[in-house]
This record gives sequence, structure tokens and C-alpha cells, in this order.
Amino acid sequence: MSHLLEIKDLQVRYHTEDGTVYALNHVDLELDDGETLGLVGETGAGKTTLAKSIMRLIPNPPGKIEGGTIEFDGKNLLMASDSEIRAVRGNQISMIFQDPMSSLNPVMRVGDQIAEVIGVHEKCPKEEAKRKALEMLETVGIPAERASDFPHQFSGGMKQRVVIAIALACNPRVLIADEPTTALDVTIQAQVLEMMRRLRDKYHTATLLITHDLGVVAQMCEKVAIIYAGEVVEFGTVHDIYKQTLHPYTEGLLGAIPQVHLNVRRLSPIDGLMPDPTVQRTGCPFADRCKYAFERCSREHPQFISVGNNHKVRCFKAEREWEKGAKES
Amino acid sequence: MKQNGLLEVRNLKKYFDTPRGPLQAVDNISFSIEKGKTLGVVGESGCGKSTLGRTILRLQEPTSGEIWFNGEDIVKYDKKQVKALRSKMQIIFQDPYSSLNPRMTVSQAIEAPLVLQGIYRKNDKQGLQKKVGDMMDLVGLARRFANSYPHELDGGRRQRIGIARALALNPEFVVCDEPVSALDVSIQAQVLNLMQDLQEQMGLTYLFITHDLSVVKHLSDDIVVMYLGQLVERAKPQELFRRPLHPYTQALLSAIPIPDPDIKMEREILRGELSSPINMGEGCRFAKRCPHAKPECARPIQETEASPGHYVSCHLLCADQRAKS
Repeated sequence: MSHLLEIKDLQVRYHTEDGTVYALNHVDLELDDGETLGLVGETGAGKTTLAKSIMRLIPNPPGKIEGGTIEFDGKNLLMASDSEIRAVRGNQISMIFQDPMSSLNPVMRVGDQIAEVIGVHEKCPKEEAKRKALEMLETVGIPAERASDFPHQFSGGMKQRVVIAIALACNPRVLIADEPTTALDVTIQAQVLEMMRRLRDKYHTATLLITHDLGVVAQMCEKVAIIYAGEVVEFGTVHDIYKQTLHPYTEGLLGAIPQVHLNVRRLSPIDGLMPDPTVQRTGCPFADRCKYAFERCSREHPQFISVGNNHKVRCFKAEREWEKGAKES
Repeated sequence: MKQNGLLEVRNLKKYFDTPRGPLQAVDNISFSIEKGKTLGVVGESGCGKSTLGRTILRLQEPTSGEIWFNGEDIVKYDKKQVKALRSKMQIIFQDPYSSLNPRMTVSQAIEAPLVLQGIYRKNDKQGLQKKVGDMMDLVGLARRFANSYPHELDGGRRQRIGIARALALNPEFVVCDEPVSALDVSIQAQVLNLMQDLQEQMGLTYLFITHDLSVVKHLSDDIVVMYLGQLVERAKPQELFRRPLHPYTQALLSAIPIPDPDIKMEREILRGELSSPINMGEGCRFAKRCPHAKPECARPIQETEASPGHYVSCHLLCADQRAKS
């Protein structure tokens, strides 16, 4: 079965004066129709680079997509011409950025900002676009009479609603949400997430939700990809990732968060820091911080293997255990 | 007057004058902290939690109220006394990117308070170097970074500098203003563990300000919840999380996304957003967003003790209590 969005072996590098940054190394990822996939990783792991690669928004120079394919609905987006990609952006795949304060135009009325997107992509008359924009505002829970307000008249949560209205205005098939609620307070975050869930059920939009918050992922997503130092290290259903954790980094992340429903005296942090992305390494990028690392880990690079039922992992320890389990049964 | 604990705050108010009227950032707040304990202050952006921390340290002048520290009301202190007080009360700031001087090296940043307080003379290079080295060891910062500039270090290491600088004077009381919210989870856990260790070693007392409820539950001995400048509930963490009484606390707790896919949350989604704390009326400030609001909520509220050590400011609960007794 082919996927709605399928990324294979994607490699992205930034060529800077201080050397080459290996931002994404051999990333594989797939997203199905109507599904919500969480992409989890820390600062500098390559989450946003991945999102921008899909939209073909990597600034070149210094960035360059050096290899791999991104197939959307059977077409390779990396081979698409500029006009072809413009037809995809906003129309078929659209994106919400982290900071709602800086992604809106401060000198344009919010209603016009939504109508603009509809006008450009659906080539409909102005009046029609305007009417649809008002409808969109109501859908995201903002009264239509506020369409003539400017962004500074809205609070953070309301601005993020406007951004979501713009992103969903053309009913895209894929929505990429890059840390959509990170800048918001918890009660406002809960409102926005609830609204995103409602809209997803209504429009059946496939969503790539980028976040560092494992709580948001557990409550919103069906599938999860864990990204570390430019590599997807584990991929599976939420249940696989949280309950049958295989990769030591995922295990470390889950151990490092204080949880309200558990009582832990001491947190177990992951020692050390993320490796320098300008150094190309031979072994597993997590080996230096991994408590299970053995000799092979720093010598060879693990493959992204499937351990049954579409749960994939890039780790020698998990590979060894799985092989052992397969032999025994 | 007898003072409870190391620090006691009584009826503290901090108002800012704005063209539209007084902004009541901190309004009539009272609490106390025992020596060696941590009081967690939780609330959303704009609720006045940072102003509270700064006012206690007299980085901002309180409008009225008393702050008792070591048996003296420090609100009455003059400038000279306040300067001397700085060696006993310190602060760790939220953003390790902007709270460090970019043109000072790590060792210069840690030395600065020691020289300013006259503990070391500026030309006592050897003494300072030894002290800086000790502080860096204490916070787990490799000594080779002594001559690095903040921009050369990552967020976790920068926050360690902030901690070393705050602790260099051997303070008794530290205000921690969102010390880990700018850090990634794996680094956040390292810093939180470090702060817990230092508290045990040095007998520190923390006022821990955060918007992250899971962090506050993990660290605190007592928690106060703030809403629009006022304290709405205070209790021990276990009690607060098991039996939140104020409707705002209940909504806040139900809004935390739990990192476990098997626990599906019963969400109580709050409507509306934080209004501005300018020209607030007498009544409950949460009433506008409260799902249980009644006409009596417009009357001034008194804090009541719902169960031993569990205080709440809510009309509906007061009514319940009265009905019971």
C-alpha cells in the first residue's frame, strides 16, 4: 500500500563557513491519510529542517537536499518544478509555525490574511474568498466580527487560531504543525489542541505534529517518530513507543520528564549532550550517551530495521534482542 | 511579632500605575517558607509570579506589606542594608541566554558578586580563582570552561553558570524564576537534579516559580497557585494534585497532557483567556472564566482552610464548608 507522504533516505546538509552541518541523515518516514504522526526530538535534532524539506523551504544556500525522495501522493516533491511546488504548498500541504506572533502580518487585518490564501489558491472572486475567510474564523472559534481586527489585538492563543485557520483554509491533505502550542500557556494549549483534534476529525487532514512535549504526543497522535541528531531512531504506534520502548534514547526521554501522575524522587537525565552536527560519524550518534553501548555501537552505524508490525528502530541492542526473541519463538 | 519559617510574606502588594488605572500584579499575598524547603509558585503567564519573586528580593519596591526574613522586616531596609541582604537572598533567572553578560567570561561572571560584596578583593587573583573553581565543581561545570564566553556554551551549561553565580555568596534563600523552562527535557532533568542536590548540601530554601505543574510537583514541599495577582489555593503537592479544590486549579491540572497513551484525559477545557489585572473589581478574579460561577462570586473573598494545611479562596467552597459545619 502506498502512503500519502513517504520520505525515503532523506539527507539534508547546510554548507557554512564553519563546515558542513549534517542536519538530516538517511531519514525515513511515512504518513497515511487522516493520520496524526508525532515527530519528537530536542533542539537541533532536525525537526524543523525535516518540515521545511517537505515544503521545499530549505534556504539554498547554505542548505541543500543531498539525497533521498519525498513522495506525496505518488509524486516526488524534490523533482517538482517551482510552479508545481507552489501548487502543492498551502493547497495540498500547509504548515503552522511555532510562533504565532511572528507568522502573521502585523499590518494586515486577519480576515484579509485568510482571504488572501483562499484567493491565491482557489482563484475565486474576492467576495467569495472573504465569505470563506469568515467561515474559517468561526470554525476556529473566533467570532466573524473580529475579522477586521489586526493581529496585535489578539492574544497568543487567538493568534495561533488565526494561523491554523490560514493553514486549513484550502482544506489541505497534509498539515505540518511545527510546535503549534509551545508558546502558549497550558489552559490555552488545551483549548488549541482540542480544536485541532476537532478539525482533524471534521476535515480528515493528515497531520505531522512536531513537538518536544511527550505529553502532547501521547494525547494527540496515533504514530510517533523519535528523531535524534538528524536520524529517526524509532518509529511506531504511540503504544509501541511509550509501552514497548526499544531505543535507549526514547527510554531516556521518557525517564527524564517529571510526570504528574507518578511519584519519582529523582529524575533520570540522559548524561552528556547531543553530538556536534558538523562531525560525520561512523557509529551510532547516541553511543556516547547510551548506557547500554557496546563496542559495535561506536564502530558501525545501525540500520533502521523493522521489529514486526511496523515498529522500527535504529539500534544494535534492540536488533540483538529482537533476533534472540525471534529464534526462541 | 513572631515570624514563621525562614521567610514570611504578609499581605504583600505590588501595584503598577498605568494610564488605565492600577495594575495589581501582586495583590495581598501571604505565605511562609520553612528553612530548607521549597515553595512552588504556579500560574500562567501574566499572573504575577515573577513580580512576586522580584518583589520579595526587593528588586522591585513593594507597594505595601511585610517581608520577614531572619526575624526582620526587610521592607524597612535602606539601600545599604538591601545590598548586604543580596548575599543572603539570590535569584536564578529564566533565560540563561539573556541573563548572562555576553562580554564576561564564565569566571568573570562568577567572580562579580564575590567582589561586589567585598568578600574577595579584586586583585586577589589566587583566592578568586580557587573559589571560582570550587563553584564550577559544585555545579558540575568542567574547569576548562572558566575562560569561555556564554555564547560558546549550550543552554544547560549556561544555566549552571547562573546557578554558580547565585550560590557563590552562600545564600540562604534563592528565588528560582523558571530556571529550566528554556532547556530541553534531557538537560532539564540534569539541572533539576543538580538543584535538588545543592539544596540538600547547602540547606538552601527555594521559592520555585514555574508554569510547569509536573516540575513543581516533583520539587516542592508546598505549592501556591496564583491567578491574576492573587493566591487562589495552597497545599502540599500530594494533597493539591489529589484533591484540587479551586476551579482554576482543577482546570489547570486537567489541562496537562499526560505522557501515557493509555490514560485518556478527562479534560475540563476552560473558556476564555486571562484578562488584564488592571482595575479589577472586589470579587473573585476567576469568576469570568469559572464554569461554576454564581452571583455571590462578585463579593470579596476570604481564604479558608478546607482541611489542615489546605487553603483555598473560593466562594463556592466557603459555602460548602459552612453548610457542613
